[in-house]
Amino acid sequence: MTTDAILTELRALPGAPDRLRERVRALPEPKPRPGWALPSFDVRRSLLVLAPAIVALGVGAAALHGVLSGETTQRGEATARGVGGGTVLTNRALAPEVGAVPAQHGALRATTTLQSFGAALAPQPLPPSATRLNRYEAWLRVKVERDELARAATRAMQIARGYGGYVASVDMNTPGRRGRAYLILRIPVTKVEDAVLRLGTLGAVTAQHVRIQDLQRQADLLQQKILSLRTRIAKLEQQLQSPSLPADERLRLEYELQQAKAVLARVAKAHSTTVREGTLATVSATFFVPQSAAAKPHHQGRVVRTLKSAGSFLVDELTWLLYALIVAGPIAVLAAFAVLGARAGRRRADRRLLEEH
Amino acid sequence: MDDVNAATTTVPARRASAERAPSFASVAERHLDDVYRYLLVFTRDAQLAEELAAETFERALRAWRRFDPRRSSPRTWLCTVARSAALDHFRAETRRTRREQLAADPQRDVEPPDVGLSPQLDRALRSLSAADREVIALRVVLDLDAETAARLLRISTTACTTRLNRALQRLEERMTDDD
Repeated sequence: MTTDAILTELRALPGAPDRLRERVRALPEPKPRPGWALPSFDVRRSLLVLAPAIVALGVGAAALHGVLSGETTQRGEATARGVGGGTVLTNRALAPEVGAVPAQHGALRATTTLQSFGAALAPQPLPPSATRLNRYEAWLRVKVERDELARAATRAMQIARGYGGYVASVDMNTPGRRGRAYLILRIPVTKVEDAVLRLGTLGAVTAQHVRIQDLQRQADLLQQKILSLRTRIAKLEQQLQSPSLPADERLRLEYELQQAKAVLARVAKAHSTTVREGTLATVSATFFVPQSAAAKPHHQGRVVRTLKSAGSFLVDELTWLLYALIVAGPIAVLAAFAVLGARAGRRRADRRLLEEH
Repeated sequence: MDDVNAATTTVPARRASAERAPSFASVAERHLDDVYRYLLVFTRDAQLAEELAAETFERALRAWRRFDPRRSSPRTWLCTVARSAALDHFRAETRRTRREQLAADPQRDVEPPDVGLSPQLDRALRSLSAADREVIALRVVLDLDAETAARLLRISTTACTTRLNRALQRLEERMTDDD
C-alpha cells in the first residue's frame, strides 16, 4: 500500500455515529455571557500594551513634576526678592533689634544689629545724642563687586577725611580676584550718621552693628573731680604762702600739693580722653568680595529648571525601578523557573504517557 | 478554515463579532465528525472515541464562555479540549492498568472494536504510539496546518513536521512488514 493510499483511507474514516450525534444535540445551550464580565487578556499582547504605557506614564509623571516644581521655584524666588526696589529681605534676615537701656542719670546704652545672610540691607545708623557725649561704635560688612574692592576702600577713607575724621588703620588683602579690606575710621560723632549711610552705598551691606554708650556722666564726674582737685591745690598753695608755717607742716603740705597735681594731671587726661571718645566715633568697615558661586547665583530659565526637575524625577523613578528589580528580580526568576519547570515536567509526563499508549 | 476571528478590538467591532459568533450548537454540529475522527485515530478505539467525544462537548459547553474566537478557531479549540480529555483518560487508564497488574487481571488482553479501517492499516496504526497517532490524526485526518497542529500539541512547528514524517514512515514500514 502506498502512502497516498494510506492517507486516502485515513481521510475516509467514518464520522461520528448517530447515537453520539444525538447525545451532543441533547446538550443544552450554554448560558449567555454576562455583559459585565471582564474581557480575557492575552498576556503577551497585554505586555506589549502595558510596557509602553508604563514608560509613558513614568515620563509623563516626570514632565508634570518638572512643570509643577519649576513654577513653585519661580514663585519662591519672586517672594524672596521682595518689593523694596531690589532690597532682598529673606526670612533669615533679622529685623533690627534695638536694645535701649536707660542708665543712671539719663545715660544711654544702645545697640543695633542688622544682619543678613548673603542678602543686602539698607544701612540704618542710630543718631547720636546732640547734647551729651556718646561713645559711638559702628561696624559694617559690605559686599562689593569684583575689581571694586580697592576703589571702595579708597572711597571709604575719603569719606572719613571729608567729614573731618581720619583713618585709624587699613588692612587690605586681595588674593586673586577675591579679597577683603578692613578699615577702622574715626569720624566726628556729629557726622557719623551720614558717614555710615555713605559707606553703605559703596556696596551691599550684609551686616551692620551700632553701639552707643553714654559718656556724659563719666565726663561730668571727671570734670567735678578736676574742679575739686583744683580747689584743693589752690588751698594748699595758699597755706604754703604763710611764713609762720612750721617746717614739718610745710613739708607735708608740699607733698600733698604734689600728689594733688599728679592726680589732677591724670584726671584731666582721662577727661580729655573721654571727651575725645565722645567726639570721634569708631567705624569699622569690612569690604569683601564674595566667592563667585555665592556672589552670582545662576538664574536659570523656566524651561531649563523644568527639564532639570523632570530629569531628576525620572532618575528617581529609574532608581526605584532598579531597586524593585534588584529586590523582586530573583524572586521573579525563581518563579519563572518554577513555572517553566512544572510546564516542562508536565510535557515530559504527557509525552511518556503518549508513548506508552 | 471557518475562523470567526475578530481582527479589531474596538467595542462596536467586538459587539458585531459577538453577534456574528456561531452558537455552541452549530459549532458542535459542524465539528463533531472532526473531533470524533481525531479521537478515533488517537485512541484507536471507536467506543472510547465516542465516550471521549461526548465528554469533550460537555467540557466545551462548560467552558464556552471562556472561548475566545480571536485566539483560535472553534475546531482547534475543540481539539484542544478533546486532547485534554484523552490525556486525562490515558492517565486514568495507566493508573488502572497498574492496579490491575498488581492484581493480575487478565481482562486487558481483549481486542478493541473495529474503527472502520482496513485490517492491514488498522494493525499498523495500533502498533504506533499515541503520540504518532495523534500527529497523524491532526495533520492527515483533520488536515490541520503544521503551525496549528504544533500549537495544539505544544511543540514547535519543526518538531511537529518531523514527528509526522517519522510517524508516516513507521506506518508504511509496519504495513510493508505486514505484507
